[in-house]
Amino acid sequence: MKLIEFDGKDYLFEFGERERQWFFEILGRYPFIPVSHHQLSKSPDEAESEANQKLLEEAMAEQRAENKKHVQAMLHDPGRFERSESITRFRLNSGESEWLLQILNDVRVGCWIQLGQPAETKKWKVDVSSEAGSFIWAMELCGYFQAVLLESLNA
Amino acid sequence: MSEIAEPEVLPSVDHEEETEASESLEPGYLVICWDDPVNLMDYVSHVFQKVFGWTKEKAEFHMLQVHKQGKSVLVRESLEKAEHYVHQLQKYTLHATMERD
Repeated sequence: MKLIEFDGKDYLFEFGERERQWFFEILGRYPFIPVSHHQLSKSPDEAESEANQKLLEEAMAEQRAENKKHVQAMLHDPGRFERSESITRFRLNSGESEWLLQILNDVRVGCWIQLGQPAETKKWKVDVSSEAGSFIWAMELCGYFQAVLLESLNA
Repeated sequence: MSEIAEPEVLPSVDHEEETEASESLEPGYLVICWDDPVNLMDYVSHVFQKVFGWTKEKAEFHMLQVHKQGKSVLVRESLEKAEHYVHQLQKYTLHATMERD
């Protein structure tokens, strides 16, 4: 995935065919983090913490349901992806790029949670064909797509 | 705050004293970001810029504080604003919480 053009409003990215498949597979996993993962406070003695935590989880669940709809709409929008032979071009505006960063990070962090939240995320010793291998693969891919997006947004 | 202060009728010294007292009584909540090994450093820095409108330098300072010290206190705000910021940071999947100051 690489940035081809930015016209001041829209970003135009280009994928190889395999990258396009990976991109679709990654986004198809959203949402991946359990809503209970996020905690409003680390202080268990806060009188209102339980009620506030419930509100937070409801808000997050609602937002994720909405995000999931948008992800599916984006992936199935024929005008969004221009395919020609082995290349696919993909257009996003700034707001959508920012949103996509959040989506990708949800999958990335969700994979890390599935792996048991290891402290070390650089040196993996797992069978790549195992379930853990699939999580690592998805996590690293999300990081790769995020890095391209961040570089484009900050350019 | 604007409903309480009456600067037109109070002597300036009294006004300053009243403001200091009011600020010290105002309940404050700290928005804290915690370290984790999964969020990319550039991503964290980017999120701080977007959520708080900080410069790249300030965002990187706090990102490095999170990375090296395990956490960073990002802002001290009223309950409502602190909740808002925590929610914004969690939308980006950062590990953020709020604590009463």
